[in-house]
Amino acid sequence: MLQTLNVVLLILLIITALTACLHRNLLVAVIMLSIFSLVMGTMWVMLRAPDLALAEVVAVGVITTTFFVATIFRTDRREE
Amino acid sequence: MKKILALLLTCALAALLLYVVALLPPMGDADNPTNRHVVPRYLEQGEEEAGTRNIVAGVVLNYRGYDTMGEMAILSAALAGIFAVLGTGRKKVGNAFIDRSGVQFSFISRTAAVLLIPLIMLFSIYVIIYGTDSPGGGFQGGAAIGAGIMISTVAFGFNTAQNRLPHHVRMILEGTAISAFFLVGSAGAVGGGNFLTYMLPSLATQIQATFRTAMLLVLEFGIGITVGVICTSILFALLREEETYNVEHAG
Repeated sequence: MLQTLNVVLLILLIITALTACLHRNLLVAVIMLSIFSLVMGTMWVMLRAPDLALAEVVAVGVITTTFFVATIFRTDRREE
Repeated sequence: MKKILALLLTCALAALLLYVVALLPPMGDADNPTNRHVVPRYLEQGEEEAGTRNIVAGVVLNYRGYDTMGEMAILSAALAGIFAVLGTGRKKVGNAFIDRSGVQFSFISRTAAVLLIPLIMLFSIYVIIYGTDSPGGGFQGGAAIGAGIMISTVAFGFNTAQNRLPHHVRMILEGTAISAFFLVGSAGAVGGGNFLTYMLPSLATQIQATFRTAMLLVLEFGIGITVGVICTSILFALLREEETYNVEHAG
């Protein structure tokens, strides 16, 4: 059971990380990074590092996402 | 030609890194160097020596207190860099794109913010206070405080949030952690010990544990307030627009 969950979470990690890197729309990439950090937080709990899980979810999932969104809205969104 | 060279170099680097990964000791092995040097000491005597049931907090605040103090200085330096690029906003020109977006007039976001923010703040204070006994601590709780302030900024507008937490108030709160570290560190030094020993040799031995808990709480709250306020300051600096905006661009 735990093994299956582990595999599913790892696949989800790879998918979200690749989408965050490769997607053309920056907002989608930022939201994918946020989902990545949530999944990573779950992974940290499974690896018995709850301290790190809290820091990961709050710092990357909320604060970095907000900073990125604020920065994206202050720049022009144009295709080359 | 350039691309082929770059590809070759990347492949060589990847091969080198994979080769090094193969040489790493197996994960979780009891004979690993990380499990043989300081970790047994931390796990066996950390509770007694550091006075925290959460070993991570003991390592962060007690064994490696200097590290944490340096990290707080790094946060302040990062904030100084952001202020140097984006301006400190002392002049109170309140202009931000979230003030002209429709988000803050949305019933859903306002209700969610009103319901969520008190719970987030309560949880962050819980995480800070119980940081020495359970997972969490100053960093995580402070980041949660910052997240709560961010949600309120998005829901109620930049001007409201900036008036609640003006620049001169934030400026004082940003220095809390380093002040707390110097206060706690000097308390140990004044009593005849080393800097950051959490001990006052002149005190009776029975009060020593209470004193240490109080000092740890001071540090946790200092770190928490500083992290939360620095996150808020960075967000305000990112949101503020000094130029007056055109209505045509508002959509």
